[in-house]
Amino acid sequence: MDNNVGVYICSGCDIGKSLNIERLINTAKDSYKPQVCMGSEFLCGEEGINLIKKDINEKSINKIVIAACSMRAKQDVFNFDPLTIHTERVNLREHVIWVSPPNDNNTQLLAEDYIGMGIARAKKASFPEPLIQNLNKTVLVVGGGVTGLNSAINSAKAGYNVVLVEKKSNLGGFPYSKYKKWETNPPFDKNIYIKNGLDELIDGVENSKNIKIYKNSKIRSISGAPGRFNAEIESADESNKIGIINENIGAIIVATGWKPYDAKNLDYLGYGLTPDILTNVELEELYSDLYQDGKNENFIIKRKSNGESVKSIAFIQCAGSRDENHLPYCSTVCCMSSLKEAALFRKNNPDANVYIIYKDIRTPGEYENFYRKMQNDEGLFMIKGVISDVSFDKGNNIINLKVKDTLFGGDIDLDVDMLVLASGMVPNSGDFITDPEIKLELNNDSTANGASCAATATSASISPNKSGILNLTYRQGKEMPDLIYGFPDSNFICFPYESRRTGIYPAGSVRAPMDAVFSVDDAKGATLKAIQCIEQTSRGRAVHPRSNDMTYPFFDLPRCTQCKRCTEECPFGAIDEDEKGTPKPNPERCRRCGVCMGACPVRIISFKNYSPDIIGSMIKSIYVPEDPTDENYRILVFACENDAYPALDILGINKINLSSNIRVIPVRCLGSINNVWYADALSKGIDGILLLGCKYGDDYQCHFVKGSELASYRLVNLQETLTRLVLEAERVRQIQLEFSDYMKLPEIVSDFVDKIKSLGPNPYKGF
Amino acid sequence: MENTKIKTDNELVSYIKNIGESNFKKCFQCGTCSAVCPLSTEDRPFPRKEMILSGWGLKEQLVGDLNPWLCYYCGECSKNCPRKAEPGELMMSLRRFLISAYDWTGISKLLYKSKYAEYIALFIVALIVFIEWTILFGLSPASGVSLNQLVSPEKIDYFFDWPMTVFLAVILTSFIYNMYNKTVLSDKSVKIPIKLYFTEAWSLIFNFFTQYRYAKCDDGKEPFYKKLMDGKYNFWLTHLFLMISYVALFVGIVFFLDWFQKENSLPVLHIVLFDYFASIGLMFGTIYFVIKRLTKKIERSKFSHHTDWMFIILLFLTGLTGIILRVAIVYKYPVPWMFYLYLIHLLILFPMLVIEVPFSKWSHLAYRPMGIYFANLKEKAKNMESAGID
Repeated sequence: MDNNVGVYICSGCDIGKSLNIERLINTAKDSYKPQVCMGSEFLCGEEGINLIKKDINEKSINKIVIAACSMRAKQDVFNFDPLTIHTERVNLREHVIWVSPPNDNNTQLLAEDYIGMGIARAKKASFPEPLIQNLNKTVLVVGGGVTGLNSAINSAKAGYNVVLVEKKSNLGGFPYSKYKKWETNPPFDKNIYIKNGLDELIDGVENSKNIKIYKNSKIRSISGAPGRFNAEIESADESNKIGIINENIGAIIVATGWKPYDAKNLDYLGYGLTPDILTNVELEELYSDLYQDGKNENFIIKRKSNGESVKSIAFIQCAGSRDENHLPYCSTVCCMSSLKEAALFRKNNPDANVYIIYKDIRTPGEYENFYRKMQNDEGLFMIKGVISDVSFDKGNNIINLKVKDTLFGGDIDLDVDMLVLASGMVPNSGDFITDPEIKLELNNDSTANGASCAATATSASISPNKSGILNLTYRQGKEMPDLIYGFPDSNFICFPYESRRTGIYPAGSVRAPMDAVFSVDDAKGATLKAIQCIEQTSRGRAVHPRSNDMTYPFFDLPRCTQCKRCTEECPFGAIDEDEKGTPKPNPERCRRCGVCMGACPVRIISFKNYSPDIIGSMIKSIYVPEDPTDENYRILVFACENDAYPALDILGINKINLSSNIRVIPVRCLGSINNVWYADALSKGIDGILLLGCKYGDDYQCHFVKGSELASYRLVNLQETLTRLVLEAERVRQIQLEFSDYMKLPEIVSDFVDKIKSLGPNPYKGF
Repeated sequence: MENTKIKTDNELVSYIKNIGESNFKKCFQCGTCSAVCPLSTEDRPFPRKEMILSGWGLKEQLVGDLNPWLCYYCGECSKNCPRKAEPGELMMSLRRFLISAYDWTGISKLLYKSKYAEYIALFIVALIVFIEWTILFGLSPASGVSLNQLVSPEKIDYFFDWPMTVFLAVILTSFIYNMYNKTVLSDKSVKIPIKLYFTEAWSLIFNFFTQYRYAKCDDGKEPFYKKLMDGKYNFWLTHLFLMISYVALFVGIVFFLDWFQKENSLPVLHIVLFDYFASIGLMFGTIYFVIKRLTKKIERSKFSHHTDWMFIILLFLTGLTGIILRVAIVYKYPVPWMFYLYLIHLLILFPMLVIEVPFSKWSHLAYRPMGIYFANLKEKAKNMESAGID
């Protein structure tokens, strides 16, 4: 491969006024001998672009180093074919002149270093060779409820074949067997809405030519990767004979929905004392039965215990929800469903009093209209308070409630005939495996690998001990990893509809508690994600968040030591392994974060334009003066491309000064930092290394789920090594930074620089 | 502390809902109403508490509640309510509810429930007056005699004014006793020393004749004269003017009817007080309130129940016919005119007094000062008790 490097230095946007461009060109020419090295007053203008294009055509330049603005700016202008031309952006504007004093020697040195680093990287980088394959484009939808039906019909309408798997004998899911739902159209103030939209939807799905439906079916296993999944479907026919069907699948939408919280756990609220205490789902079923019995909407609800009419009924909201001992979360639907059930009750038993005892009424958005409407019902009494006791007076067949902390200004007693416990949703995301052997094996795996085990034991890590829904043959477990409370959600801020298994998208109430209206939207989002994944993968491009990236990790397997770090730490479960522990990469599942590359102790994993060697040579190109004066301290900053690097840009846009001692290298993720880079930097004489990355922990913001967390665990090991080398552990520091924290950057950097100055220069300087 | 046993009553909730236009069920107990109310105190956090009592229909607590009588409906709560639940209007509804609760005959409840009931009641009283008049004075006046000879003031006194006054006195007293029983006697948490009834009596009289709490409805920091100039006291002063005019005329007519039927040689005091001051007060006041209720610009007059309208219209018509009659007497109009005018005047006056005073809106003349008096008694007694304990 030819390395014809062209360096173009823009002097627009005041770069020319703040830096000596002549000197920059000469230094670059002297040190790196590029084929072309020139300045331009307006590089992003037509003239500048034509200049570059001319060099590409005439001088066969294939490595372009553009020393101008941030790589986040002017992407549309400096847009050359990535397969034949490597474009390296050197950020002289945001990271040099906008944060440093103009015409200063240190500023000039900073710019020289950045240009040198850019050239070093461009020289080493090779061109991506995308994995373009003819892949299967069928969408597998698991679950035939509201979300599943909507996903199936949307995918079919978009022209994709769909395989729909439903465990029951009928489509329609949870709501289908129930009586009525609340108004699902704005302004959401109608009392009740008869279920009929669902039948239309089911008809649409059943009559669609693109949709293949398997009822009474389960998934035995799913293997492969996006575009080449193989799903083994266990399907029972009418005579209950189970057959196995194999289907080739492109992407998967998981719409397995929810199940009600086990009412046996609600005995503290009186469940089981009398048949008159039921859950909200049981009441719904009671309505449904009463309606079915008479085919008449004007049924009267009678007490289950003695068949007498109900004069008063109480609903206890958050029964076992928002409670650390039960479900710690809010299921979002119980308030509306209780109001709806109350409305039905009032309609059919007009003399009855209905009490709703609540902690907070949560009827978000326009649902508030329904709440307001119901509030006006003179027979509905809303009581804010906490249930302190539920007892049953057998003699009088009366249920007594004690409510404390009411707004009434004291504790109250309430006698009712019937009690409904509005309990919450539990996601249908698989059951925990109780097989002790499997657990044992997993434990052994974890303890064998030192530092990495700590990372996998935290909340953001995988939970490999579930099965029963997808039964993936992935090395990291059979089901989707949970984000929290058993929901296989993705990060709540950045990635709606995303997941941590590429090509598999949970949607609807299995992803997060939600009602049918939200599930319909969720289904649309997941469908788009699935289609996006199919199309991107078949073009050899990455999906979110590094959309369109055409590189993928290359494993130099002959040198592999089978340490299993990459297979264990991959946040997306992309890498399987054989019996010996040799990784079996699946590029279609890969998100190109580089966590595996950072994990590999023998550095066999690399991308075409991002590898331990490429970044290492960038580090080596930094000029480190030996004279130990204040301005000669050199701090290397690894900045996460997703949040920290933009934050530095914003700082520049706001023209806030930053120390000139720092040299920033953008990384795909802090998790992709290989320990060799620390060695490269410290042996070169760099005095300190600062890692700027995303927040981790429960509300992590890492775009690759646990990259920044992994970096921090690896740092613990590294710091031990540093101490052994008689280097202070404080020379390496990791900071969790949110994009909006950019104003904190000057303080973070100057703090660190001061710390390094107090430690003194790196003793390895000049070796 | 013992738990409060909740007995909700949705019939009561609908009743309160129907006798006003408050959306009190919409209340989520944020407490803004009590915070902005210039009259509400820490010990008496109205109207927040009334919102929940009404929302749940807790009859016992509502009947024993004096707070509605302490509210003068400045409307600050309604203006600031985030749910537009109209707490001010609820206090109005509750006053109507209390009037029907103190009334052991059950007539008030009927009148508030249905405007037709009110029409019928008024009609019945008017019919009785008509029959009585026909029997006593006939329907065709003899010519050539004076009004006093045709309709003697003594007969009016004996057969109309005094029986009615006695009836009103007896029935109102019984209602007030009922109120006293429900709000003070049945409240076991406080016992009022006998002495306090006398020492606090001044507040009853003071409040009756000044309605001073109206002035407190505006808690702005400006000085008194500034507020007066800005018209902030207009409602209060008009209300007071109307009330004093009415009381003056009522007392005057009941005890000195023959003066009103004389065309000359009257004391100057009579002419100034009745012919000018009270007549103007009656006309000005009623027209003022009618305009306010029609324009609906201020919170107080935003909503009008049919009993409000009936009362103000009857009062206006009574005043109008009375004044025309008086003019006719003074300027010596033909006697038959006066004869029929007199009849029309009585046909309006009596239904108004007999129905509106004890059973409807006019009864607040008695309940409001009594309510303030009882509330004062309870508060003072409680303070004395807690001081004694300390």
